[in-house]
Amino acid sequence: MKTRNMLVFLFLPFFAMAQTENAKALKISYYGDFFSHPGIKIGYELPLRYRLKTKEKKGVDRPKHKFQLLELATTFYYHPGNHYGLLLIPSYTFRTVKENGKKQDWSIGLGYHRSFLTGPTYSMDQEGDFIIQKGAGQNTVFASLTYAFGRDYRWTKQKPWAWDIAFGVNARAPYNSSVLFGIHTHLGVSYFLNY
Amino acid sequence: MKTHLFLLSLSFIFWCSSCQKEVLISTDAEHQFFLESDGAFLPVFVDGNTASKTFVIFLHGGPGGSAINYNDYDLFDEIERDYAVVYWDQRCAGSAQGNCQKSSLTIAAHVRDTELLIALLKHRYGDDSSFFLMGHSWGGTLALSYLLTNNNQDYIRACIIVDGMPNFTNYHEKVTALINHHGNQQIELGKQASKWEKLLDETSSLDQHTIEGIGRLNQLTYKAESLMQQVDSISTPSLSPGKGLGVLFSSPQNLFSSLSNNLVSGNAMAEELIAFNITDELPQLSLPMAMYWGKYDFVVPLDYGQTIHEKISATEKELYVFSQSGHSPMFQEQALFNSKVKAFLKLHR
Repeated sequence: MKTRNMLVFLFLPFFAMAQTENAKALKISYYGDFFSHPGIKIGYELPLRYRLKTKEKKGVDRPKHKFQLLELATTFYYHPGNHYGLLLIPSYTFRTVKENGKKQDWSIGLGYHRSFLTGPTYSMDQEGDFIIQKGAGQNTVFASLTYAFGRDYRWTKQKPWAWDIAFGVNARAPYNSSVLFGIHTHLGVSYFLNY
Repeated sequence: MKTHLFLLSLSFIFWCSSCQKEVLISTDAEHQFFLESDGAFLPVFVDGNTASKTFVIFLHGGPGGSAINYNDYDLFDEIERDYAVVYWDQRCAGSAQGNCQKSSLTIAAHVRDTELLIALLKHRYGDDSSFFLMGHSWGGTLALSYLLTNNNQDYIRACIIVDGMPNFTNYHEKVTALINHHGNQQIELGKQASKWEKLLDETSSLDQHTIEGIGRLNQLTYKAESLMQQVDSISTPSLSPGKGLGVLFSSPQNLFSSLSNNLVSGNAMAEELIAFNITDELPQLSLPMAMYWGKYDFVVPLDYGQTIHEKISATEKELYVFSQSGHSPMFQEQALFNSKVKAFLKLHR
């Protein structure tokens, strides 16, 4: 009973949302590991909470749409001569959309990173012969903090589209005997499915 | 139907390109592979003329530096025309990946990795290949340690030590004396006098018995080198900003991993390096050797090069001082450095 109440409490805002605010989105982005190592990111956005906040400015009401979203994303990128990276990251996003469509996101993500080395990887077996390892690479935990800005056209142009540009910092561990910090960027478009 | 055909052809092209057999023997090779050693994935780049069957294995500085850095700046392109140069990032260094543990950051583990690398190069390029070692700074120390382990010098045709140390004995005194000598000269000439005075003051106040003190002294040596660059005693490398930007964004190197690895390796190996001394074993070295040093090397003073030159039993040996270089003559007098290396390789291949 307790669990059911808790679930209802958690998901009530989600079910209570109107169609526009409730819209789930598919997102596709250019992903740049260290900006220039190219990749592609595909994500699915699920709004969890929504609040309409209105602020009066110079006698005019200025509405702001505040969201909390869960994004499930998979990313593949290539660092030439170093590794191919595969990321599976759920992230939690705090989004604000102004009445003119300008939007800002802050996201925190925690997930899985797998690297695949870009060349044949040799190791010596017990007989002293070299063998090539298949799928050599590393499994690591990946954490990220990302800021994004862009436009959401649902309220201004009544179109199911949005775009954003994002910059973020990330950390991978374990990496050798420490943590590897990095930076990333996205440039993406979102399509709202049930708009 | 058209879409299916298009996708099928695309997959076929991708499959064909991924299965393409690597051409190992070439006059213009650009090979990349990894060596797995004790959980660490060590990137190896072999560039240049592999058809020559002569491989110059470059051992980078640090510990924790990167060989890829030297490759990114095309420092040895001139050597690559006639020979193959092997750029290899050591464990927990540069863009090396994997699970390299701090406990494995020892000179012995680095020597073992070098042995494995040479065995792998033989495996890939054939038993008829010949190998030269060229070690810069810590890489020079590693080259000496490698050659003095087991019968390793039998596998190496000749060796070039560039500003590398055979011991850490009296390091503080040697470095301080050199900084004082050049610093006082510059103060007398009125060149950067206040900066030199500050540098001399700090150098004399450092605690030579602590790792922190020696670490700080090491930083000050680079400061002294940059002051000598400003008076043109050391030539400034002509590396274009565009090249730097290209390196930053398109290199196999990862700037953040290089920084993190450099910090980890340097700290982890500091204690062992400070106690390091193989001077008494140097007479065991009988292979041809060249010691290339920068006249204004404050990091590893010329005195160390002279010690190696005096102690080794090699009959074919050479000590050459680059008159406009500090710790890195391959950057500071690139053309002259390459011509010296090529002449040495030609003589001993």
